[in-house]
Amino acid sequence: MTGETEAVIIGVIVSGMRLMTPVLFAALGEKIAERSGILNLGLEGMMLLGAFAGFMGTYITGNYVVGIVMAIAAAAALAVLKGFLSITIRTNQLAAGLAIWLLGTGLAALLYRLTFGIQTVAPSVELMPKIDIPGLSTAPGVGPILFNHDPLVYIALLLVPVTYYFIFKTNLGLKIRTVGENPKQADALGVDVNKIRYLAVIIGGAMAGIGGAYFSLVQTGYFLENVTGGAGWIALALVIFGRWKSYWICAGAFIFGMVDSFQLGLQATGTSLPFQFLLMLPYLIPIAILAAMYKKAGAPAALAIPYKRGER
Amino acid sequence: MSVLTVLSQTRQKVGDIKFFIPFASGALAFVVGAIILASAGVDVGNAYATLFRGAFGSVFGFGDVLLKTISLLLAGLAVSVAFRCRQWNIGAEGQLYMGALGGTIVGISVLGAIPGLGILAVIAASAIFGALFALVPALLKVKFGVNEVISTVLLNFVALLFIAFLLHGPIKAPGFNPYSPEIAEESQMPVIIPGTRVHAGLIIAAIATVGVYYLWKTKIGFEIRSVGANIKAARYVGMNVGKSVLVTMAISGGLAGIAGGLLVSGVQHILIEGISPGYGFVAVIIALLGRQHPLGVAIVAFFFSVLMTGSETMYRSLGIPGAFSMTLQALVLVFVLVGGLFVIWLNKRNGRGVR
Amino acid sequence: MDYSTVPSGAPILQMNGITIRFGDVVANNKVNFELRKGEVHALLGENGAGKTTLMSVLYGLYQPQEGETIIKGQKTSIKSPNDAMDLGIAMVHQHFLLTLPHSVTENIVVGLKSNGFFLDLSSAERKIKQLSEMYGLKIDPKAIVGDLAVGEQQRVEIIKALYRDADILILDEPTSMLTPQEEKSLFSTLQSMVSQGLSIIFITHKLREVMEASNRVTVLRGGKVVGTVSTSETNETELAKMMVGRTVVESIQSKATSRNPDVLQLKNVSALNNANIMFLKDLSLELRKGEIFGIAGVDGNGQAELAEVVAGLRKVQGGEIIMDNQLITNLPPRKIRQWGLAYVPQDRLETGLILEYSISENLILDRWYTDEYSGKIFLKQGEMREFAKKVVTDFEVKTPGIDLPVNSMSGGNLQKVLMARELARNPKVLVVHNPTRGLDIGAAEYIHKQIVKQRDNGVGVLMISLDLDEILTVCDRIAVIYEGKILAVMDRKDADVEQIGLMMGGKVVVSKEGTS
Repeated sequence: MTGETEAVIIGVIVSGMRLMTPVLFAALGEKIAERSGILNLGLEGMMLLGAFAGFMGTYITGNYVVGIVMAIAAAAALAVLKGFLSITIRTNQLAAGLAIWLLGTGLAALLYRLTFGIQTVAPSVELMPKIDIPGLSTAPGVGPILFNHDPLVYIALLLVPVTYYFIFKTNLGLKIRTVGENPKQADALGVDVNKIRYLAVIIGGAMAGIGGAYFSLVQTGYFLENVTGGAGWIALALVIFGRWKSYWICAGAFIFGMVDSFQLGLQATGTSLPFQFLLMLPYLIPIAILAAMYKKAGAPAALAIPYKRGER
Repeated sequence: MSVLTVLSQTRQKVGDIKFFIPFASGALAFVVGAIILASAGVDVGNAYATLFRGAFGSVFGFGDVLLKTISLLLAGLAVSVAFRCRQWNIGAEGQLYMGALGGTIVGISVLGAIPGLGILAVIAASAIFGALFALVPALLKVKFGVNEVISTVLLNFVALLFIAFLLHGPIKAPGFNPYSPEIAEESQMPVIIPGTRVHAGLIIAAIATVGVYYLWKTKIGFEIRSVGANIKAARYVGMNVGKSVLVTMAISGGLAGIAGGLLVSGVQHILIEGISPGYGFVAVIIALLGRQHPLGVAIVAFFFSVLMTGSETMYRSLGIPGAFSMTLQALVLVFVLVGGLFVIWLNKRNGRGVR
Repeated sequence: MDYSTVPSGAPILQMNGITIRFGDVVANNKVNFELRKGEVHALLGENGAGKTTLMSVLYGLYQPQEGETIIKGQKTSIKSPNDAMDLGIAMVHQHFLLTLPHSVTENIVVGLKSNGFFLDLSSAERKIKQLSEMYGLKIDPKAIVGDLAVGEQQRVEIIKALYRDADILILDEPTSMLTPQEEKSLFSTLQSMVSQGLSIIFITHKLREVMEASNRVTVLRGGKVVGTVSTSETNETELAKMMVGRTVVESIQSKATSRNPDVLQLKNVSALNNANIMFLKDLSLELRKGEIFGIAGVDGNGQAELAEVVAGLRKVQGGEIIMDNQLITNLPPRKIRQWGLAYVPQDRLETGLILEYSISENLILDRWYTDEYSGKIFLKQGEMREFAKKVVTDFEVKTPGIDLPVNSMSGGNLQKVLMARELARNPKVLVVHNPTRGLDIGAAEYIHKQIVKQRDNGVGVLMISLDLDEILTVCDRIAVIYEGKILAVMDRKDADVEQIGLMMGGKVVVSKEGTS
């Protein structure tokens, strides 16, 4: 393997890990929400609002942590609204999700323009710096892949075992799973079904917010309308692909990241394939995967079904 | 007073409230919009005045309202047809673009230059392109059980990318800009209201509305509706669910495609990226609000056109971003959904149980 | 709640004057119930008697409008299952509340207040093993519940209760899904639980169980307590009388049909229910032309499955169904209907009608494609409306408008529309399942009149009903279904209510000349 090819491959992997991060955040969060029975089609809107809030917070204070916190808060607020519609009002989860999606998208764009107006030079923030572990990050091959990323990449990867552990090894996780599979059973055993669902959807929203902030704070440094480019929808597909399990979702996100990175790399090498077709891959692959799965197995039994005590 | 009398009176009252909710939601959305604008330091009164002035203040402005109604109505009908069969088609935007593509291809070809036939060919091509594109997620659903929400949404991106590719290469007009060549004059919709840009597409949209109304009175329409209303009962009486899904999505895609074709044929006369400012997505809200009735869809489409047109004026005069209208539209939907709770609460209070 | 201070045999729980209404229906009417420490107390009654409702009140799922619950001499208010569990009351529901993909342990420990943050499965498993040995309830804590047999799943439910330190255990129809062996095992478990100081209430309609497993029995009928007796001082016949006893007013002439040919035969039909348990077991019956054949029985003995196999909505695993000399076993429903079957399901809203449709649209749901009601493209609205108008007149349907959605119509009128549609086909066989459930007396009488009219026209009517009164007043011949089998068939004139009650409770009675 020539040094140049090796560099390209490493470059693709490194880039892929960054591309997979926001989708991974959102998918892991959505997994928790769906495990409790709430389907959140508004994920894309939450991510966009998070992208905006994260940008605003960082722009105003110059502090990334503040930005992330604001992203979490904004997306979580939208999640509370989604919860209100789906849990308390028990409205059609599809309609509620679509409403949240469009509201989040609209609000993000609206608030951004209202704040900044039209400027010749778009406001920007400095990209979140990568962690530089002296010695390790320059190690050949492995170095850049594993040790030279921004903190959010590591947090996302860490969240994979953390969410797995949370859902499968804690009592709260067991409650969430039971609420999603058999809310009647949970209710009869004294579990507050609604409270658990609110909690799950808010956690999901918070994580989606972080994922959205990743676009503005790490990938671009700007807020652009539709900067998320469908990441929320891809996250939804990933949850199905991963059969509601963290490690499989991570694998799916990794594949997505690699495909996205690969097509970007191909563009850079000036291949004759029109770049638009390459850009299509990240959207076509999830569809193909869903088709290949043919009848998803393992969905939480009570997914998208509102619960009311006493109803048969 | 007998129980029945009280019940029917209450039913009327609740029925009234149900009718009242969309208007209340609209009003509330405007209120929230006002709050947002005010917190950004905008003069709300002036802003809203500008909005209404933009929509109703001039013949040209109102003409633009009608112009947008054409697109929103067709797209809204497209989505509402799909929803009637419980097919959650969020891909109207992509189908619209594919329809625009089809119309453009015919419009710049020999076919499009035939007098009298050109326009018809454009409309037919846009319908076919849109329908075929919608059949992709439909087949995926029927054969492989692929969730149509995800597939239609993702295919939107695919459609837009495909068209971008074509506009930068195969169908690019000579020059630097990623536009298509202009379509033949014989393929362009004539303007029907002088002093505006309103073209004959308005008639087509009206025909489509009537068409959808009559669709539900046909045999196939009955099957589609039944599958959407109660799939168990439909299966029991032997209705073909797969067929209903495919027919529905084809019609849905076709209508969205025509919307796209008309954007090319009626206004721009060329195909460019961004020819639709998200009509396909607003259509989803319109379909949800229009309660699957063509007339309801038309009314909501009109009001949303007012909103979008006025919003454009707000942008030109006051710099208020276009996302304002999308936000208001989403808020209307949210409030309508919340209003559903109100109805349930009222029902409970009046002792009307759920059957 | 500490019950150890209560001496064995003393009252531990008293429910006084419990009254609970759902709309117009009084489910429990001034019910008094007492449970003594260390006893197994059976709650006996037929459908709708109010047994499950009473226990749901005790478990905190419903709040009574009147009455009080006294535990250990203290008035208590049980507002939720949490309150009930704090008082040591646990309930094993008839339809298990289990999460199939989870393990036994996970199903048992979910929601326990004593749980910490982290899931401690190993100590839970130890405790489960302990309980398992103490009460002879063999179970593997690590097993996945979905893989277990029904009897084992029930053990999980019981251990779930014991794990929560239950002192009072309520079992709702515990043997409805068990094999005889599993049943035996359950009863011995009950004995060992009682010997450890538990007190048990079990809800049932099966007389044999009461006699075998209980110390005392309280009989409910129509929401009221008929009596509470010591099991040792009564017998099945007496209990059946208490459970079912009524004087029936005969208003409809029954017909002698012994010479009529069969129009529907079921021969050794077996079928699974939705939980994949063999629910119809070698069921045979013959329906004659021009008769109303009633099938009585307590809910859950195979009625729905029987109706569904005839209508083609459920696969038959063994046996044959023949209608008018044509084999219709496992044919698609549309075909069976074309060949002469009309079916009014018990769930008229889910399978029968479409609520948002008008009367005329519902009426042509099964024939919209025929030349009568549609042209090449369009539906023939005129003909549809004529049909609807005719039905409204003929069947005296009360409706605010034939073009309005039917969801505003009362149950009785909906049933009339459904029947009208089915009858318009001039069927050979009419299957009705709980035809007058939820209807007021006037509507019910009307439906009966229609059914009798069909009979008089030569149609064979199979009436499956949970309402014994209905069966006794309308049907020509009566059979009882129990655990997926037909126990006996008798003419109405030979029908003995006590005997029927016994059969509903599972006791096979040697028939006289009943099977004519």
